[in-house]
Amino acid sequence: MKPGSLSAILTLIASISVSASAQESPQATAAVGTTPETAEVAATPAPGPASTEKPPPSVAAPTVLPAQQTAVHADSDLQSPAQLSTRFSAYTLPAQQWGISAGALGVGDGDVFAVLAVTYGLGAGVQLNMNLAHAGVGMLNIGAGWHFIDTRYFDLGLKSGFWYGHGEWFWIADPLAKKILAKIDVVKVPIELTASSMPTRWLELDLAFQYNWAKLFGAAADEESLFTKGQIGMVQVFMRPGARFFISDNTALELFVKLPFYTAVPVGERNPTLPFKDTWWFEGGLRSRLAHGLYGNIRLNYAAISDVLYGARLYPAFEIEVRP
Amino acid sequence: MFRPSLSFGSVAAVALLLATPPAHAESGAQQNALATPALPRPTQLSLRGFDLLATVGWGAHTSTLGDLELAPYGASFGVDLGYSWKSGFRLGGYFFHSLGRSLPQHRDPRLGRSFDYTAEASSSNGGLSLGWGVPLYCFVLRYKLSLGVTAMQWAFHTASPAELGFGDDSSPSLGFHLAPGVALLWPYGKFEGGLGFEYLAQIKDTIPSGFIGTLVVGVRL
Repeated sequence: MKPGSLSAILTLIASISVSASAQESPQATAAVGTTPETAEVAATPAPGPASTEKPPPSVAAPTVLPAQQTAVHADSDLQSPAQLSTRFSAYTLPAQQWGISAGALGVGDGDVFAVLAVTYGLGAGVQLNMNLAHAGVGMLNIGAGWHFIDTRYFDLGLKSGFWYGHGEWFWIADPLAKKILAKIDVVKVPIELTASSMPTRWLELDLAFQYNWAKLFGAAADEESLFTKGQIGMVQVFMRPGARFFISDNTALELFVKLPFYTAVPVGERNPTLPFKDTWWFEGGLRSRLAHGLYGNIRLNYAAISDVLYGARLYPAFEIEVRP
Repeated sequence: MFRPSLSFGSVAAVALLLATPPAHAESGAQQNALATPALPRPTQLSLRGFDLLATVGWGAHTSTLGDLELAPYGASFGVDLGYSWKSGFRLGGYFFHSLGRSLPQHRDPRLGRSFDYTAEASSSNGGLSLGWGVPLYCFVLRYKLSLGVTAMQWAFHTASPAELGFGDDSSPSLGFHLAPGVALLWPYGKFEGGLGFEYLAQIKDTIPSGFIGTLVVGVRL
């Protein structure tokens, strides 16, 4: 046996010791995502090519290193529970975790125009959220999520909500649009089932199926109203596949596409449908941890709805999220 | 392609995996984070200090004003000065001028004769920017959100603004813009360079929004 191998075995034993103590210590377990500085755990191989081709240095290092040096900050990357993105994924915030997001220029119905969202993790994979920015312009918008299948490689989450828009409260619209909207009420209930999987340390795959039930009430409801143009008041069935590439421990590249099967404007008995070309969208973006508990997100959307909302098919959106 | 290896490192890694007790208390996502090695941590880069950057780039308009197409971006050049704190937060100011382009167009109104015209536009942009630099290996990924003013100079040869439905605005048209953007910078000593983009979301209806790709080169003080 080479001297280097002996050193590696000693390193391995030290790593196992650290790992075991970390697993047994409630503080270390609870520290995930809450006190990253103290929660250091040993590394084991990840699934996927990266780990098989290049073993972790803590295991293969030919020289004796302090156990602390061999440990990695696995809790401090964007795939840790406290830092996972809950947007378009099956995941929800951990118990007793607040999340406050602020952003603008979005096109997805949860973040259209502006976002000032408050989210709270109740525990047991359940979270509640509300977009105060929409509420501020006359669109009450509350939601809940339940991350109910939680395994090593596969996760499933259910998200739903309740939207109520009262046109008369929609002060942000221009006078003509406001005059039309004043007679319209909209109710919407989205139901979304999302599967997420992290097959490797650098990849997350998401696939969502969503059904939006919506109903427009009012004397002047028509398919040209801002509620329908913004796809807020539409009956829709769509899938949304996406991928996140974790290019470092603090930055991810995110790609999503919305593929609607059926879109209709719930006006009276007619329910006119909209073609796929007017309702699909693609977004590419970056999400980074700017500082502890602070995340930045910038996206570019390409969609017909961007043209309707902002006058250009290609349009940016940005968001800041605080998780205190 | 997945190729199993029997190197000492792999055997030791498997042994470590087997020796690690199951994490009963953690969720699957927590297990994911605990049981696999983290991605490489970026090297520590000093983000603090002033930087003065020269920017050159190319911009394209992403919207039209009805049937009227204006191209006030095109080749662009300018400066960007800012101060970054240790946390990565950056406060800066910027100015750039875009030469724009002339676009020959044809108008066939419902009433009256059809006619050809050329829409010429260029723009000057300046304002304040908030940014945050994130270390990314040997680079800095800088998120930016700029708030500023655009002055668009325009001229319609052989046509009047009223004929084109441009309203009673006069050149230059002034309007605010909001410009989110990202740049990937490579700090090397006192030198800094990189690539980025900005999207100028124009608030004023008569100024088209635009996407600008930039090359930045400058110094860190």
